[in-house]
Amino acid sequence: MTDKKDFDDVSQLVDRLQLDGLKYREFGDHRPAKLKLAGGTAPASAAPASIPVPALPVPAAKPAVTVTPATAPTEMPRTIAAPAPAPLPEPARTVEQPLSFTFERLRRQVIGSRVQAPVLQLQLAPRKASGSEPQDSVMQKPVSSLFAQIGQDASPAVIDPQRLKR
Amino acid sequence: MRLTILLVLLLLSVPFYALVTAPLTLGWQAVTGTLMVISAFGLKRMRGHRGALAMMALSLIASTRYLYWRITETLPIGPGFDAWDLFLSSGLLFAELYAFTILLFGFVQTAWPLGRKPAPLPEDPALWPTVDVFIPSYNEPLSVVRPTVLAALALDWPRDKIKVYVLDDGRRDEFKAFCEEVGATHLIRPDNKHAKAGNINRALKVTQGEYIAIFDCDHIPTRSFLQLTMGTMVTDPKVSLVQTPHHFFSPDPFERNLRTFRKVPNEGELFYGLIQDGNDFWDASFFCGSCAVLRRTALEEIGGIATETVTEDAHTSLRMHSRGWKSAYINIPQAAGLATESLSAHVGQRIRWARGMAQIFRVDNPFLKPGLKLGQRFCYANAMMHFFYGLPRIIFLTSPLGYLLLGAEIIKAQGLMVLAYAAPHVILATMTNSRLQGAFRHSFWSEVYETVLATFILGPTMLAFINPKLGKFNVTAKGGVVDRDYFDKDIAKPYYYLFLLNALGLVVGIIRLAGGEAHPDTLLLNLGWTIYNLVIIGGALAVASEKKQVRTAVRVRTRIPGAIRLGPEHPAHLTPTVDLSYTGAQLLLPEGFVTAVGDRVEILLIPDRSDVWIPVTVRRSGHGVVAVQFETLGIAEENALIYALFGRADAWIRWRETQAPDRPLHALALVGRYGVIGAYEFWRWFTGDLLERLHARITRRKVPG
Repeated sequence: MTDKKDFDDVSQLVDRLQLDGLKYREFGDHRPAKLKLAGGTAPASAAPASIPVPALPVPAAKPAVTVTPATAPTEMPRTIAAPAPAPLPEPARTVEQPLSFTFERLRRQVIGSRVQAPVLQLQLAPRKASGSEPQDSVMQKPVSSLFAQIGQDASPAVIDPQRLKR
Repeated sequence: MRLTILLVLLLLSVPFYALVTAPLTLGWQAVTGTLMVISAFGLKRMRGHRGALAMMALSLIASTRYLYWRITETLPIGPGFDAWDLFLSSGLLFAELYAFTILLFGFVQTAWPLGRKPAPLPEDPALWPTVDVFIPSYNEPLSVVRPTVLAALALDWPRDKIKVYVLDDGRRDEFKAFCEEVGATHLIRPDNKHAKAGNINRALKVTQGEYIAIFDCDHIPTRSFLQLTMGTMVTDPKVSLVQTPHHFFSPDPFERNLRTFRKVPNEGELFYGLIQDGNDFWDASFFCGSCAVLRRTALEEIGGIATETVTEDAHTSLRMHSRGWKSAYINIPQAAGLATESLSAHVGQRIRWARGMAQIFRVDNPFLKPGLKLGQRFCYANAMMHFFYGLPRIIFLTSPLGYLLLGAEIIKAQGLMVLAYAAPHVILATMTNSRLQGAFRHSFWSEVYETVLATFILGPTMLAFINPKLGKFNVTAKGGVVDRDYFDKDIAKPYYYLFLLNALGLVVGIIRLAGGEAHPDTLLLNLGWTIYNLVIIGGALAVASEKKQVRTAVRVRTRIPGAIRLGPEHPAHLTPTVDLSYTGAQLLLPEGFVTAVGDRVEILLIPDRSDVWIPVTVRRSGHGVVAVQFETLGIAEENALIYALFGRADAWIRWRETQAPDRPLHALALVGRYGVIGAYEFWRWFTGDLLERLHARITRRKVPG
């Protein structure tokens, strides 16, 4: 048995139509399949079928052993285009591609190899859990004293929390 | 409460009367009309149902004012007019009064759609009632009936409290063998008396379930059908019937021939999307013959399904309502079926409905039948009177010809005055209907639907009204295939006569205009009306241009989880479907899965709920998808396919999401486009046919010589 996301048509119905009071009972004989997944395979469902040509290159396939395949939700046809040229690399035997498609795929691969996603390097202070006590002490102070402290600050736009705590 | 409503209505009637009857000059009427239209635009922006109610009130004022003016000021009586003028004028007035009545009743019917939610069932399933599922069939092939029977057997209900019966009026051995194989009960009777109604009544005598779920043999239920409908029955012991929508997963002839499938709401969506919900507010939603549950005690009290008319379903619920039973409508598609394939089959089905409703109107008139509530009388009456549109529609399509071709003075008023009164009436009715019905019927499409059927239902409705016993039940053909493109000249005959007449009227009108007309405004008004009629008739002609059905099995585009593998010893590749049909599927081609055309592989549908691998043959592979064809399926494989394709609780709930909202001008442009296409296709056929006949005649003359 895989650890894939459960498919539940009743939940989708209930959520979609907001049938909160409905308590559904199963009586059918449904046996989930126990699958032996192919190694090194990424589930094709990861690529949304509704987008004929994705705007960004597809990330490299992850090892299938550790992948949690996202089971595609039941969707109606609007989100599913007619057989679309998927961006996944084609197996060697499927050679029935129009030339334009091949060029487009190559072009995207080239762009994909050059484009670097922007990386933000932020110098942030270590995170600390915010306790309720300092906040309480602030709240207990009279408003007039808080405003007075603000007024004393050299830069009126900045409130120093350390000063407020005192 | 009733007294308060009466008082409010009395108080409102004074300003209403003043607004309707105030005599105005052309200028002031134009100003009033313009202000009304501007107000409607303002109300259109108001959210919530109160805005819709206000629009209804405004529309009623404009329409009543127009009709009051028409009756009191415009009838061609007096010097200068003859009996011919009065005859044609009376015809038009009759059609307008009919349209006004339907508009008024329609507003009442849809004033407050109930939007009922399913009621919960008892906690303990041991307390749930017993249900018999009836699937009547007469001459449909087993391939059409199989999925319905298998889906009925898979309904989520305690196994010891449900029985599935195939009511086989064809008495076929293959049906019997199939029922024995899958665990359904095959019921037959010695005759076919009273068609479907008689078939069900016979089954009622030999079965015992407390409730009866009825599905036409091509209406495949989802597994959740009973749990969504039965709670309402159990909660309220006075409810005799719970109806759900008839949903169609294949295009009807309009949708296929005009290529509007899932873009423009089809002909039935207004009824199942809005009108039945509106009926439910008045406790008047009625049985539609399929996709419903009925209470056995209620059915037995009225002597079973009504057999006097060919629309036994509506007649049955009318009788139950008149006995004080209630009904409910749950607007969640929980079954789906095949639409009629060809226009001729579609017309045949609608003729039966029209004739049946006319029969009920005669034998059990809702205005006269004791026991009904006022709202129920309105709703039933509207449902029946709607099918009398044949004659009014033909009058609307030919009225301007009386003036253009015969010189008859149909309306005793100058053209601009007619425009000043009629324009607010038409514009406000269109805007209000768009607000109320837009999600289920786009503006101007009613004209196309009615024009296609008008000439065909005129005779049957009139005959049924005169003698309700005439005519017999005809079974709607399902599961067929339109195997080529062709212009259905037999069905289209009334349209092309109407089209040619209107085209002639247009030409004569233009000649008269060029020759100097005494009343150019009246002439222009009639010319405009004729052009509109040509567009609508052109749309009907476009529908008669049958388009080839590409596949025998209807392909449903649906994305559900699946898996594919080369064989039992090979690893599986998870991949969703792109589309699915009863004969094949298309899946996204998983990375690393290599296959070729002709390979025999296996697919699994919804691995979370099924471990049944279905053997398939690869038909196409490439471009990111793999298309497969199912091999011969065993019952287990067929069950797995039916669950994935039809049986999911949520299978049809997002069906309408692909439709654009109604924009009246956009809808008019679209109808106009189809009008032009239809006119072109008709002209091409017409000239081709004429040339062919001419050629044949010349050839025949030459041969003897």
